[in-house]
Amino acid sequence: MGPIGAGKLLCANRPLFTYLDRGERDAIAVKRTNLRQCDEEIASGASELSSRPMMLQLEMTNHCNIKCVQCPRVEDPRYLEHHKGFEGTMSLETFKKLEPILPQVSRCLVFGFGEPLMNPHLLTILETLKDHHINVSFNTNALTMSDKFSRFFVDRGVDNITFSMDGATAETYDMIRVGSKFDRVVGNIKHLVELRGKKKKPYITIAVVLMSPNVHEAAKFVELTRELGSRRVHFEPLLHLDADGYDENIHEKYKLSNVPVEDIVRYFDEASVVAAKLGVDVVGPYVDETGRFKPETLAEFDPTVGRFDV
Amino acid sequence: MSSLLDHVKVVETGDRQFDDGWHPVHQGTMKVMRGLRASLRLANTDGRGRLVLVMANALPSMTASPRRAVVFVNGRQVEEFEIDSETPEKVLVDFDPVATDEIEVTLAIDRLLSPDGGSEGEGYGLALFEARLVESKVVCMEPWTTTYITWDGRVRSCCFSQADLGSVHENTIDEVWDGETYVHLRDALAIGDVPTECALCVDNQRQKFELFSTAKRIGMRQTICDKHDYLGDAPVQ
Repeated sequence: MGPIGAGKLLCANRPLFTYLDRGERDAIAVKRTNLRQCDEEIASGASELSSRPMMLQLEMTNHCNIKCVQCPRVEDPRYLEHHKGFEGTMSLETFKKLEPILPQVSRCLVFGFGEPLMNPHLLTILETLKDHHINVSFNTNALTMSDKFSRFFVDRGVDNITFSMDGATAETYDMIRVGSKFDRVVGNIKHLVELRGKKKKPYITIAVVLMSPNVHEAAKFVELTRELGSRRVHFEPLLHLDADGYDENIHEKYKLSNVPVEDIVRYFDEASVVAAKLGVDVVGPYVDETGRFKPETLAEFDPTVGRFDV
Repeated sequence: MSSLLDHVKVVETGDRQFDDGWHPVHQGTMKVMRGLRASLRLANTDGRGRLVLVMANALPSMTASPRRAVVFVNGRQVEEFEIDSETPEKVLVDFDPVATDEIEVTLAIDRLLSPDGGSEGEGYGLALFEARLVESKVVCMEPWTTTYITWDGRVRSCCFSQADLGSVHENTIDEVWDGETYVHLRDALAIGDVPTECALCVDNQRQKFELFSTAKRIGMRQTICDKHDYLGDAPVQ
């Protein structure tokens, strides 16, 4: 083909993607058709659709088994006072109502505003989703990720799991994620990685809410990421979306701006060196010209916003 | 000469100017992966297409372990190359004229397997970039692509909106998806009218929203690691 500016040409005939069996191909053909229809209907701005949702997000539960200091739940009266009918767990009956659209669904996020492992039907639900060849992802704190869960995730090839780790050391972690235990969580994740062996899935991401008590551990988080069998760490600055917009003053004690920006830049410089050495992708926050922190997603397209993550 | 190039309008001139004599008919920039942006330029010089990959702020971690990039145009592989620390900032991929009104460019990037065949869950998977050069006024795609189900079966348009569009215990999921409430929401977003339940998201993420909507107007969609399973051994047909 035409000229390329650089790069070594690889063997053109080498298969890039895994071959799939017949049943899977047929199932995927349905999803592809749906994706294509979906594209066309977005392009045309149609409001009555022939396509079905390509992505489904299921709130497994809005209960949680730990109380992170930065979580909005610790101040929300609906959780604090256990408002009637506010908290609950998705039943199989509710899930079964969604089965008609599963052939078209390509991707499913199996978590909402709670800890998905607390849903006793989680594995049954994942089983059904994987039977429909759906790409499955969820976030978890891994506190109750037993051998049974881990074996299932590896055997059934659950696609992506994101572990929330707000401390890279036991001291910091246990202080922030109240009710969880660093050693136990690390042990659980390492067990999963051991079971995964040479398999690729589940892909693991480590997610960190970046705040004043943990930002100095940036480089350690990168090391921990590799130690936990992952090549991707996602730093998200502590921000709360409320009626007045993003407000990082809600948690005065934990807000990132308690730490001088120069120090934060230094921590990230250290993290960057470790990331390059270990081959870890760092997804990080940005700081704008006024020194205000923004999540990566807000700044990623804007060349005028400075970046200091890597 | 392909007709597609006459149909496409310039939606974004971008901040980077290239002095290589090409006259862009369409130009847009989209982040493909950390440290990698793809500037999509389709030019009509001699009826050829050109994709410009820009390694903007290439990260040490991005290039520390080599990755493979494969470019498909309308389902046909046109280029394959390796991204590593020696790859320059700009990579050009030229391709033959395409005789359709729409063109779909897919850029797949995967971390190369280690020499021993890969271990420890190498890589994060695949970055997939698709651009369809069609215009749409849709300002947020969620009600076309996604649905959110609360633990008790209420249906919402996304994880952000608190507005219930129905319940799977009162109607089937198809009925809710095709129902009046969902259709009204799509009608509003299709003409750039922002409903109350979306206002906060729009106001607070204006920067993201504006840029996102630019991307969406030209029908661009970027996904990381969520569609690679559906590629099989060939790009989306």
